[in-house]
Amino acid sequence: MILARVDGVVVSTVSHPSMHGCRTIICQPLDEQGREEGLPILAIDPHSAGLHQRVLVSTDGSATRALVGDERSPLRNLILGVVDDPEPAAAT
Amino acid sequence: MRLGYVIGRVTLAKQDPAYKGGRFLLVQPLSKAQFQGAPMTPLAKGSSLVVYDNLGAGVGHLVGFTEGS
Repeated sequence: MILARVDGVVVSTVSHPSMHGCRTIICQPLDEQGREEGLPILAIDPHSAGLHQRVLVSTDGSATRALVGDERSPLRNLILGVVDDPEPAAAT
Repeated sequence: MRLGYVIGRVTLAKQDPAYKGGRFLLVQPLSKAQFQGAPMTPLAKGSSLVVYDNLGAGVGHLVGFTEGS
């Protein structure tokens, strides 16, 4: 599980069938100080997190496969929850 | 799960039948600047990787890809 900030949404016309109906977002991983750490990753977002909100991301493929109901899905990253923030942190 | 830019194709003379129906693409993962709108050329630093694709992506396309299980 990692802490990340929502940086954008991905829209794709052609995608794996297991992704149909799922929102996909771009997440920037953050360190414990809230600084950006590494390159952005993609994640499936069943909670409809807002732009610049902080989220918990699971990188466990089996949990994501269970969610989409496809044992052969290539999806790995999944938004587990949206962090309670008084005000979403703006991108730096 | 990451985003990358398709920069080439890998063609095999012989391959395992399990890969039939798809193709192998050479993909360059996006840099932080490219996530924020910078052009895809010059290519991002860092190594590219070979990705199996059965959805029909081609050179010049922006793709999402997965690593590991």
